[in-house]
Amino acid sequence: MPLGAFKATLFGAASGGSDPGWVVQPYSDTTGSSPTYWMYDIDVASDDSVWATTLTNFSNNGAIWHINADGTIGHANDQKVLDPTQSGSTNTRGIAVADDGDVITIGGGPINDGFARTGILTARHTPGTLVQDWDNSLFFPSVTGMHVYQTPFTTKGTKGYGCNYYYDGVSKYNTQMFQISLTDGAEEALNGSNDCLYLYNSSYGVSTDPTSACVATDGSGNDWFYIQYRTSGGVGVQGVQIGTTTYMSKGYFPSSGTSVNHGGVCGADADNLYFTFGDSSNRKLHLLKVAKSNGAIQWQRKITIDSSTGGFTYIPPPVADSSGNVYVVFNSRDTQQFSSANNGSVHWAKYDSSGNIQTLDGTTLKTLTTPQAVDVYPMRSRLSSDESFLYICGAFNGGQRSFVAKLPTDGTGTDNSTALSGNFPGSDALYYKNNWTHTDAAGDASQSSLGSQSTNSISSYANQLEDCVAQTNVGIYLDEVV
Amino acid sequence: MSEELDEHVYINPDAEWQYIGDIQRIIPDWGIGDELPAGWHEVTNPSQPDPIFIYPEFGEGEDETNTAPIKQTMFHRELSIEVIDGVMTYNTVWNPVTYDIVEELSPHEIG
Repeated sequence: MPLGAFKATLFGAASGGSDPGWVVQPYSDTTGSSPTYWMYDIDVASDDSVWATTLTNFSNNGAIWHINADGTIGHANDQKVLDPTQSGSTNTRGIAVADDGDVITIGGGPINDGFARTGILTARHTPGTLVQDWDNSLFFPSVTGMHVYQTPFTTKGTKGYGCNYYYDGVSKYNTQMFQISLTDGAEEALNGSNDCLYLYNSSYGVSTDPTSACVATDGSGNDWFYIQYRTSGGVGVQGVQIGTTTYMSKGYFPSSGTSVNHGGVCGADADNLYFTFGDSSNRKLHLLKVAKSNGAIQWQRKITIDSSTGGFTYIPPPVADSSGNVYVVFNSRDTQQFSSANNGSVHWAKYDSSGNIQTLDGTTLKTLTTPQAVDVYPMRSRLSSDESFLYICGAFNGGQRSFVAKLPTDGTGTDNSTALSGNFPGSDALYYKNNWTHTDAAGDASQSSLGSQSTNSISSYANQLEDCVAQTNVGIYLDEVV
Repeated sequence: MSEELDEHVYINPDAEWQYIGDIQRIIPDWGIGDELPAGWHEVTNPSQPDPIFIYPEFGEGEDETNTAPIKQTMFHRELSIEVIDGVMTYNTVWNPVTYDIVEELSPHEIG
């Protein structure tokens, strides 16, 4: 029997920060009991339960999960199958908990309007209720598809904010930022008069693609919608003051090479954002604090991993706590442990608002890993309501072994010699360690203008999703972090 | 926009590129216009030139289907220290480096 099935008896119901941490993988008849899916996004509700969604589709359908704060599975009606109409296919890529506790999902999906086109499928779900409140597909009215990527959606109040990319029909993909109503999913004017703002590289054949939708408030009380985007050789931040035509954009480049990878962006304080990205050529994680108004760098740091052979390719957006500290999460491949097995790992570290890496329970880097010599893909990190736990989702084993982890933010729970105990599936045991050798140093990225803005229109199409049905025979594998 | 949010870049005694927040890590109430810490210098020309893309050239009768850029010139910074009229000046020199562009697929992982 999976440990999670009786864990509620051992530890009681969800009770917040006094629980131990855990690493879990839910499964059902939808996924099979030996699941190989990829957990792509999570959000944490006010009771510290976790909503999660998979990139992997199951017979063309998406799936969402609700996991209690103690690692047990949530209400049966919250473990859903997302089934597009007319036998369409969906890959769900984003999930967000709105201020009122309802849950919004977003992913690729069909537009059944008489043409075979790919749009963005959104839906709203009330916790504990099986059938969705509404669903709506968004589409940029051209002949080309419209796609979402990593961490594409966030909410504030009664609005949702998302980012996507589409092919311009000529030479490249462009980035779009859009706003929807959470009342019915309809598109709304983001800048006061246009549905969406788009970013393009003015060079022929050079694409941009976005991640990390983020809403942050400036020192004057104005809400801004920011995203991170990647283009050839660099990454950048673009923001729009919501409801206005005031925009900002700034690009950042590694010190050499052109292999940059998405990280993300989050609010730091009234005047600044945190911004991360990966440099897979030089194998660095970059953390920058940049001005909300114009993206100017305020300070920057970098982390390198000793004996690294790869990684720095999957970096969830940073998360800041209420004191302005920031948590960064990234992947690596290296040969420094497990008999030089070139294993893949997920690392996390905490910096204070001035850019000082923090020593937690004696060390500055924590590592969730297996001895397997394959890539690991961390996709999203979140903080619990009392900021005592860091949640991370993603997939081990080259995307074939999904996970959601809940790790104490005080850095406790590591064990450098003994694997975690429980029944998390896979051929190798999970370890949570604190002895990965690494270097924190001054960052060396540079900054420039990058990209241009314009506006677009999008259309929406209701009722593109069948009424949700429940996954059956749901269970959860669990290893404890104590 | 406040002056503190303008783009200012510095070099520290360890020859590392630094920013306002790095100085404020040492002197929390430091602001633009205040005396720099000993051994620190502001660097001129801090903003990086935009990348330059290089496109294929086609001869007569050649297939012109693929017109995406094939190379990309990036600019990487180097510190230049000169003495002008007896005053040490710290300047950023942006050195062009051209890379081949390896075609990347659009970002659709298959889960």
